[in-house]
Amino acid sequence: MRHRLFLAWLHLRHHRVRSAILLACLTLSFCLPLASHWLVREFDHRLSGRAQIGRATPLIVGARGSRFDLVLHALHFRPLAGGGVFDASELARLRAAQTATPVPLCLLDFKSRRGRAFPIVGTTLDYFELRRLVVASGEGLTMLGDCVLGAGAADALGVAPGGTLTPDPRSLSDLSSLPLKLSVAGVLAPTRTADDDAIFVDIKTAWVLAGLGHGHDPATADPAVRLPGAPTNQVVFNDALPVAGLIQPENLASFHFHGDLSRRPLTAILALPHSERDSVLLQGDRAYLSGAGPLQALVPAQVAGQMVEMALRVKRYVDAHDVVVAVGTVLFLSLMVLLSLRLRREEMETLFALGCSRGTMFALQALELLMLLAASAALAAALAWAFAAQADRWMRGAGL
Amino acid sequence: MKRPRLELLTFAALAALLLAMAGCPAPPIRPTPAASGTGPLRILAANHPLQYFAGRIAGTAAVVTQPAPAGEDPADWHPLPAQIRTFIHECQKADLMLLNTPGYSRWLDWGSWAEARMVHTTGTFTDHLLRLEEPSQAGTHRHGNGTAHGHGEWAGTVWLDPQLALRQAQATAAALARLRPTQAAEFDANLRGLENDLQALHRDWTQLLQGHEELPLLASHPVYQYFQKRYRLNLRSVHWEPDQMPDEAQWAELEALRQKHPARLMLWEGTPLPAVGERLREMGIAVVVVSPGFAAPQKGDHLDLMRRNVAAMRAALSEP
Repeated sequence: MRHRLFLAWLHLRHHRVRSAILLACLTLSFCLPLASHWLVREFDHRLSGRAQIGRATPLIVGARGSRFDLVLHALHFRPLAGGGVFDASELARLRAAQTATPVPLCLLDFKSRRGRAFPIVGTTLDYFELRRLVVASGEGLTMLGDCVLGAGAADALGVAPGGTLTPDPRSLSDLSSLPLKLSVAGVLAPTRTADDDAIFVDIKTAWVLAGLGHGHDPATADPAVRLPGAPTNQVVFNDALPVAGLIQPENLASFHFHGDLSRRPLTAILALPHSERDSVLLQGDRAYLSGAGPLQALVPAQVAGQMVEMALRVKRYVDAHDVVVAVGTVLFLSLMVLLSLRLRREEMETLFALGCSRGTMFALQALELLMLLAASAALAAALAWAFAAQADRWMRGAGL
Repeated sequence: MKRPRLELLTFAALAALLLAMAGCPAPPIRPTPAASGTGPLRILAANHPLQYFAGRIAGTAAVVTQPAPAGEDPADWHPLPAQIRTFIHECQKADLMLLNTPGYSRWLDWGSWAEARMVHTTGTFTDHLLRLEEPSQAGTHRHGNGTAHGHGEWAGTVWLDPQLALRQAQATAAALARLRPTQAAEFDANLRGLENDLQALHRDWTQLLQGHEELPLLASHPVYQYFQKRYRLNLRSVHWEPDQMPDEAQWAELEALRQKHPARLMLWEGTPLPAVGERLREMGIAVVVVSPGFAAPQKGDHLDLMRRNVAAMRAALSEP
């Protein structure tokens, strides 16, 4: 067997150009269906995997509009067309219903100096637990003003626990927002999901960033702004007092929110029902079913399934094309083998005259073909893997 | 003859690489006793009444604490700057956080919390919550030389209405049952015991205060809103503290108030300074201590304190 392999290998090496053409032809034939299969599987994995949260069927509550946009926003932090903001009073309503744990999301857009966008995700600690996010360095969100970075965001922004981060207020939707410095509390372990590129803050910090609350720094208070007659040790909080740019334990007590608390903005709520029965009750909530209402509740797995179904439809066309390519390749390969046999007739007759059996001659031909098939399969797998790795970057770039 | 073997090895390595691509899920952030179902639950209550309710319902299944030091009103208390991070870390370890009205625990706005562990005990009856409408009540104020503070947007002493206290207890029991379903029957039985006690307290107050709806009453501090609403009391409040002597402006304010509201009884959170009590007596105002029970009483438990409140009120009303 070893000798037959050696002879087959020498023959393939001798006819380098022919072997290379065959190898390329077979590699491409294998690679295309493999790559499209992996691409769709990765797409399905990313969409469906992110939609599987909590014990019972979860729901995404958000402003009425495109269901695809809302699911991509809540699960993959994609920006919502038209803002899609609604009042935090819905959070209190869900709490009162006691059917689900509402995990609020308030997403703000943060652009770094290099122009790359990182979503600022205002949420609660529930999010880290439901996504099973692990803090790789530093600690989790603790105090107002803290932020925890996804592995990709920390790497791209070049910050580590103990450092600070200043979101550009011009990139926030609310122009009245303040240039508040965020304290980097920790960095998460990589997850290969949208969480890697996110900057997580507490929901209340997101509201401070959005300009709905602020604090004053008593240490920087100008004595001139004190009211006449006020004790010298008493700071009068008024508009003239400087607004704190960094939340610290010393000025934390001065942080406060303005306006109606129930009107604070949210962009989505991940509702995690306590049971399947609660999930059904929540899905049947009149506030979400009414087409005239401002909110909708979606089952993310269903919407993700619809998106994957659309991708699968496209894949079916690609698969049909692959079948045609495969038939063409087989015909081409057959032709090559037949021509090769004809060209090698004299060689075969010589071998036969030397005492080589017909079986050995067949084995030589078959081994050549098998070696080409094995090499092309390996090459196709490597190419498809490289493509999948690139696709991983494309998908993450697209926020999936 | 070595090269085909090399190719096979390459192919095997590639296959192994593909398998590794599948990955495996990361471990959860931190397992809690609640998740594992072993050991007592750690419950943090916003104030003593909630601590008492949770203790009665959970029994030995939980260790219930409240953050404010003994004797301090949890609505006014907050950790010092140097303690804030440690305090938040400790609170984050709790399996349940029993919250009172929105804005009651000021420190809640300072940290990051898990919604799944927070029990908004007034969340099911937000339509019954009472707003602090007067600017002097809702705004920031200070007591003597103390630090300036506010009491949030909502009146906080919900538990002084035993019916609402019961609903707070029911919300606590429901959260406990969700956390430890295997002990739900035990929690339910304990809740029924507490319910009987609270209903008995409600009956006592109803019998005592029936027929006194028109009687003008004063309160030293605006903390009796829910109590007043439940028993339809004709109550007006000033803003005094038991351990401080009101200044002359405050006495004048009281005099002016009495012109429109001729009360002869004044409800106090605690026993006022002797001089204050004497001056009130001279004005024809009797002092009756109806303690809201923010903090753990020095004698007996929370319900004992509430029963002492009933007894004190009964004695005051029976005086000519």
